[in-house]
Amino acid sequence: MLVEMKGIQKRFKRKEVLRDITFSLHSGMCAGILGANGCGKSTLLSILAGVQKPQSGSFLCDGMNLFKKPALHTQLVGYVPQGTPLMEELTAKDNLLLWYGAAQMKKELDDGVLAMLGIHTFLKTPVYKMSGGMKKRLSIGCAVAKHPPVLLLDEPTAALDLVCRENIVAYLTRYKAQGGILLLATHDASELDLCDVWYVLKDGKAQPFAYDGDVHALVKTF
Amino acid sequence: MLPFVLTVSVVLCTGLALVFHMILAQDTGRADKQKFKIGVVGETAGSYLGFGIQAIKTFDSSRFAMEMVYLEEPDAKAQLTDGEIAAYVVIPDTFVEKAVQGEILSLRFVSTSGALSLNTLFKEEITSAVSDILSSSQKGVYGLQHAMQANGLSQKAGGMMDRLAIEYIDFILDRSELCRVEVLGISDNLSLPGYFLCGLFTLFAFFLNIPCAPLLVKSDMVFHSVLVSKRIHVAKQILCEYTAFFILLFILTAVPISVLFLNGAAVLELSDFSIGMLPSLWLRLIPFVATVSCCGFLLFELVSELISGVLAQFVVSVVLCYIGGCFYPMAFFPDVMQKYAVWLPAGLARTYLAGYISGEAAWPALLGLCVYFVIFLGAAIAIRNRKIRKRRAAA
Repeated sequence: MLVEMKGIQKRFKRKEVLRDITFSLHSGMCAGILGANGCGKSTLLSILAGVQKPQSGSFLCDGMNLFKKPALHTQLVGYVPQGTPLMEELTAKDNLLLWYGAAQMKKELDDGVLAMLGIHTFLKTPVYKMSGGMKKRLSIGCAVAKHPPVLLLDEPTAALDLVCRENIVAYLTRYKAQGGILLLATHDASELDLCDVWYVLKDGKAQPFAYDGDVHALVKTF
Repeated sequence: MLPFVLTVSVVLCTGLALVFHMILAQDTGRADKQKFKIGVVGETAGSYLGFGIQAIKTFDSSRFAMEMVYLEEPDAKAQLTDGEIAAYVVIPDTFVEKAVQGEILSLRFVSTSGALSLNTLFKEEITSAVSDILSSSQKGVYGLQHAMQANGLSQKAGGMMDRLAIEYIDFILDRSELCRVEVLGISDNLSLPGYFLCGLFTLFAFFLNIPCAPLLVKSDMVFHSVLVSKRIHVAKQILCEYTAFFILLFILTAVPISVLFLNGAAVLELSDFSIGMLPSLWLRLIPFVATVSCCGFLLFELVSELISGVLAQFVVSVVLCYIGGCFYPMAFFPDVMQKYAVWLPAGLARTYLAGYISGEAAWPALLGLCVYFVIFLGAAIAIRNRKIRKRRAAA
C-alpha cells in the first residue's frame, strides 16, 4: 500500500499553519512528525484523520483520494488524538462496545490486539478511574477496531510511565511489522527510534530530517 | 451515574410534593376557617337593597361565614384575582325596580374555582333553600287537601291543589333563575391548587436537568472530534445524545406526574382523573418534557465545567420559573411583564400543562414550545460545531 500526502495547506483566518505538505509512505513504514509546540503537528494529523478540512491538498491511498471518499477513509484510517477520546462515565468494556461487536471484542480480548494492549486487565474500570496509561491503551484499542492499515497517533506516549510506554511501543512495533503505516506526532526519543523517516514542521513546511539519535541536532532544526 | 440521577430526582420530587402539600393544606384551612369576603357590585344605592344586605350582614346566620363589601367591578375583579375577596355579586341596574314589579332579574356571581371554595358553599345554600321551599310547599298542598276534605269540598280539591302546586313550581323555577354563577379562576381558569400544581411541576421538570450535569457537561471535545473523523457529524451526535437524555427525563417526569394526578383528588381539576387517562397525559407530556430538557441540554452544551453547569442550570431554572409565574400567580406581576413572561419557556410550559388539566387544547403554548425546541436544538448543534472548530484551531 502506498499513502501520499500532496500539497496539504491549512490556514486559520490570516495565519497559515500548513504550506504544501507533501510526502509519502509505504506499508510497514513509520513517519515521525516533529517540531516545536504549536507548529501544526496536531493540525496535520487531524486533517488526515478527517476531523477538519484543508484549504487544498489530497490524501491518497493507492491513488484514491481519501478526502473525497469518506467511507473508505473511515475504513482505512485510525486516529488517536491527544487527550482522551473516550466516554468518561463508561467502563473500558462499554467504550469498546461503541466500536466493536460483542463477538469481535471477545476475540480481540482473548488473543488479539486488545489482549496485546493489556486491556483485559481493566475491562470493568470506568474511564474516570483509569490512569493515563490505561486511557491511552484503551484509546488505541478503540482506534484500531476496524484494523485500519493507516494509524495516526498524536503523542501516544506523552506523560506515561515507562511500563505503559514500553507496552505501547511494543504494540506499535508489531503493528508496523504486520504492514501497517504509522504517522506519529511526537517529542519522545523512544518513539523517534520507531520511525523510519522524520519530518520537521517549521513555518508550515515539512522538511525531511535524518535522525541518528542526536536529539540536540534535531532540536536545533526547530 | 444513573443511581445518582435517580436519587436526586426522588429528593427533588419529595421536596416539591411537600411544598405542594403545604399549599393544599393552607388552601383547605383557609376555606374551612376563614370568613368569605364578598364584593357587592352594581346598583347598590336602593334603600330596599341596602336594607336587605344590611339584614344579611346583621341578622342572617350567613354573617358568620360571609362579609360583604361594596366595590366597583374593576376593583372587585382585581381583588378577586389577588385573592383579597372570595367572590363578587353583580346586581343589575334595574334589579330593585323590576323586583317591585314582580320580575326577578338574574344576579351575576363571579368567583374563582376551588374544591372547597365559596361555590360549594353557595350551591349548598341554594340546595338548602330549594329543599326548604319544597318541604313547605308539600305541607301547603297536603294541608289544603285536608282542609277542603274536612269542609266537604273534596270535588274542588283536585283543581285547587294543581293550581297551588303550579304556583309553587313557578316560584321555585323563578328562584333557580335568580343567580348565574361565573368562574373567573386564579389564572388560566385554574383553582389555586391547580395553578400551583402546574407551576411546581414545571419547576420540578427544569430542576431535573441539574442531576444530569455529570452526564452532559463535556470538559473537552476530543471524543466528539474523533466521532467527526468517523463521519458521525455534530447534528447526528447531538440528536443521539439528546434523544437518550429526553427518554431519561421523560421517564423521570412521567412517573411522578402520573402518581400525582391519580392521587390529586384535592385538586378540583383532577377530581375526575382516572388511570385510563394516563396515555393521553403521557402524550401531552412529550412537548413539555422535550422543550424543558432541550433548554437544559443547550445550557450544558454552553459550559465546559461541572460546577458551571450545575450553577447555570439552577439559576436559569429559578429565574425562568419565577418570571414564568411558577412561584406566584401571574397577576402578581406588572402587566408588561405578564404580557412577555408568558412567552418564555417556563411560562409556556406551565400554560401548556395548565391547558391539559383545565381541558383546553392550549395550541399557542404548544406552538411556542415547538418553536423553542427547534431553537434550542439548533443552537446546541451550532455551539458544538463552534467548540470543535475552536479545538481544531487550538491544535
